[in-house]
Amino acid sequence: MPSIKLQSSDDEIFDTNIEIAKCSGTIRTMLEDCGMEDDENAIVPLPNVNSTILRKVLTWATYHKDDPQPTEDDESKEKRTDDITSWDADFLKVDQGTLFELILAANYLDIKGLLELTCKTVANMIKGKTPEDIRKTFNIKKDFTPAEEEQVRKENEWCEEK
Amino acid sequence: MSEMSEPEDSSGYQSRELDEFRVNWQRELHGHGQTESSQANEQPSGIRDIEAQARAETLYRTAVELEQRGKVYDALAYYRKATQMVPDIEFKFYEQQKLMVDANKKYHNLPGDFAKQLDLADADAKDVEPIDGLYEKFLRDLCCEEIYGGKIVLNSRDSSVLTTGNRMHISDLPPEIIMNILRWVVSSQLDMRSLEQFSAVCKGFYVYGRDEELWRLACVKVWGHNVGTLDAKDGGACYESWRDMFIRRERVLFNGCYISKTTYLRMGENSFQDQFYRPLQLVEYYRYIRFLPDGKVLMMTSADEPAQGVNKLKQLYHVRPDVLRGRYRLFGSTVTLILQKTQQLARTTTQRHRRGSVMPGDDDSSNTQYVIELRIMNSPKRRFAQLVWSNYTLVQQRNKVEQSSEFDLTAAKYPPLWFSAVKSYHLDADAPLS
Repeated sequence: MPSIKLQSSDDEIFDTNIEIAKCSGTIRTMLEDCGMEDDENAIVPLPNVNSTILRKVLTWATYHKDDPQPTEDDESKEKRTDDITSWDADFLKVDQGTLFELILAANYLDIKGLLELTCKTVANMIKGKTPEDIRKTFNIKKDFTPAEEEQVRKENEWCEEK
Repeated sequence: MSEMSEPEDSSGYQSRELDEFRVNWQRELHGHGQTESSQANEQPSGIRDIEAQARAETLYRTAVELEQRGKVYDALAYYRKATQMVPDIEFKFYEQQKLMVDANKKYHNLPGDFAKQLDLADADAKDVEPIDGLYEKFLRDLCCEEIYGGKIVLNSRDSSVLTTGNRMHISDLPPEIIMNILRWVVSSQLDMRSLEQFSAVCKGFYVYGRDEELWRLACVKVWGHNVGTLDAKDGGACYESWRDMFIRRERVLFNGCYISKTTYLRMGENSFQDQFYRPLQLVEYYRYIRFLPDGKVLMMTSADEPAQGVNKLKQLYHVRPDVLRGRYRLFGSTVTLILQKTQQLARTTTQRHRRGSVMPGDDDSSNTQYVIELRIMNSPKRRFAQLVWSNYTLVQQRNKVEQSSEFDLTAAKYPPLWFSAVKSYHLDADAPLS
């Protein structure tokens, strides 16, 4: 099985199946553009991803390597499930910092599925929450003056639940 | 043009005069009590009508309130009294309600810059003076390097306390990622409420939450090709922003369900032995309509109380057989629904025989469609929270002949539907806003 070496920002080398590595659009482009596919000893440097996160990303990619490519077909959209699978849910049982790093890594490596999953997870932490809940969840300081806060509340009054 | 508007003005003046007269007349009536009734016969009949209508209206309003509180029997008495006085009171009452809503609308449709002059006319003037251009002010505030240091969200964690693990904060995410997350927050359900809650977190999130592109996408989803522009030239209303359009323009609400309760009495059969025994049956059922932002709509009538009923419309992809599915479109302040019975059994059999000997066009032979037109109205508390029936037609196709029959929209059987929010509908993001 052809493999490729990925180098994390802290210089750890990951020997990876080439098909799995190619779920990343960034790596795929690098391989194709630089003609590294045939070179067994080629090393792909990934200066934006540290070894902890890269290991997680590769775990995710290995599990999902056989997933069907998402299609724009209407029929399949109709059937798409709203739920995050239990494997993915377990995979994302990480602290918030790691979750954000996974988002950045998925964005940098251009892994659509992982980016969707992580962004959706953060979105679900926001949906249906009050501003104070959100501040607590994400450790955010309220920087409004009382007058500003009151005005924002008034502007948003139209959708308040009564 | 000025000549045209004159008659309108004078008629408005006349009606005001009539109103005043009515008030005086009522006062007199109460003051004189008994003696008045004999004099009343001498009054011109037109004035008596007005007086009767005013009283009938009060009775009718009481009846409506009682009915809404579920006191049908009490309400019946009031309805009866009201209709005895003025037979078409229901129609008149409805017309008056509509006038009030129209007046309200006119106020809201003031041109954008004029509304701005009034300083966000909706905000209470008696409170602290509103800050002009909150968005611009926050943008300026966020540029302050000393406080924000290039980021736009402040970390509330005490940096002197050492914690294990990763210290990355939401403010470390680049703007395009935050916007991506917000598309998931809004999602294809158009959960703008969660977006508004997000914008009330801090100045930085406020700026993100007022992103025009997000609101424009939401508007496009709601009105489709008819979305138009913000400064509609063809007589439409002007909007300050896409967010303003989303809030003010007539539409249906998505984060819940429109519900009506129909209660009516049905006379039972007379017993042939006992002429005095006449059973009365109280029939009670609910109608549920749930709109989805992608133009789909679900409708169900059921005897279930709302607490259970709304759950039956939760599943979008595996719709229960007693739920009608269809599509809807918005035209100004009306929404038109076209619903079809879900005939799953019938459909699978026709599919199985498709290559067989089934006559072409066979599946059209018993096609039943329900076409419903509802008017979107405001309630005192919430915009677009009420739907009033304006048309209900059943279209049947038999042997390529279309038959349509209109339902008689009596208020008892087709009361307005009221919106009620259902939290579980918008708990999870389904797909990002696109």
